[in-house]
Amino acid sequence: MKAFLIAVVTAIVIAIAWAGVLNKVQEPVSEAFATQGVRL
Amino acid sequence: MEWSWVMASVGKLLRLTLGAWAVVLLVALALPAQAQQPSSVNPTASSVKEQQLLQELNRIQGRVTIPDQRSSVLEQPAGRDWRNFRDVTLRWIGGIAILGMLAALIIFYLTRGMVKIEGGRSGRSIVRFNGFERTVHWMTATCFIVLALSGLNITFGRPLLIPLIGLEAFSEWSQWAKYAHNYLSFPFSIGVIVIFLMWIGGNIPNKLDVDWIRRGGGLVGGDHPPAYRFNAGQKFMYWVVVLGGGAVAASGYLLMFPFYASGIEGMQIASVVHSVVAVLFVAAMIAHIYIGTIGMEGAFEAMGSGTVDVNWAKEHHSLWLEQQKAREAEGNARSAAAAPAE
Repeated sequence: MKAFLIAVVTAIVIAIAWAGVLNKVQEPVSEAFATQGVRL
Repeated sequence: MEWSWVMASVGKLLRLTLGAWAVVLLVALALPAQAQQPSSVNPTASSVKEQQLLQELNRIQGRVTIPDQRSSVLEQPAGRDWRNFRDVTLRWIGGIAILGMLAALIIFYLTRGMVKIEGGRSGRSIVRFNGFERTVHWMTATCFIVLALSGLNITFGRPLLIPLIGLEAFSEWSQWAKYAHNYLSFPFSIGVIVIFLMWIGGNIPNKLDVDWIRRGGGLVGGDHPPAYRFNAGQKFMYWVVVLGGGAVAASGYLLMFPFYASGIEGMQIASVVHSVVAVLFVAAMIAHIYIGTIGMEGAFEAMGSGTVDVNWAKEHHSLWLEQQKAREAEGNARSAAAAPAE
């Protein structure tokens, strides 16, 4: 049970760290598909 | 007076005749042109058909003003094959693999039942997996379960879940499932790498595995073929995890970082590899979970508490048990020799 709980916590910690990396590396949709031009 | 009337009449007749001839001539000239006109007008008859374009080009591309120039690809013929694979073929492969495995295990359980410890429990236990090994196993396993459910949602969610929970709930669940799928991929990948390094020593196939398979591995019949720490069945699972996990991780990262390492064609291939390996992986893991829980008495304890009953070890891993006993005896002898004489 102890090993299982440590495993789950470890997975969550690594996942949160990975989420941070992903959000930094990947360009959000709002930026990738946007333009600086203004359409009036 | 009479002469002028005659001249006027002749002139009138001449004008009428010339007018009639002119009308006849116009009609005669117009007829061939009219004969060439189609009965119904087709405004796109001379334009290039979509199918002709797709045959000539590998994509139909235009121009866009937004920064992402890749969005200018309007149509890519291979995309249709990929979509058909994802919507039809993959569902068949996944359905047959997963439901087929479940059906086979149910039939096996109903006919064979749980594989019992024949000698009964001895009451003595031996350490099978240490804390680190179990932690890595459970980290990989929990990540796998979330990844499998969130991944199967992509393939089977629409036809199975939308009728049950509705569009809004499905949309919300799918969004969270996608986040979980992306974020838990990394601890899963780390787990696969550590498993590879941690257990590679005991998982190299050898001659003993051939004998183990030939004798049914103790699952078929009451035989207990000898095995070291990992038998042929466990070695098979190990390589499924290492190779299958490696394949889904590599193809998954290609999809997670679109256009970083490949174009759209490469991503379509990655998607096919990822999904096919993943559904086969899920089917294999269902068998692994079965044999580790209700399929075999005493097996879960190996990853639960980390220890197994000695009789279980004797029946399923007799050579490993001998190794452990020899190591223990060697350790005892060494400590006895190191102890000061009285």
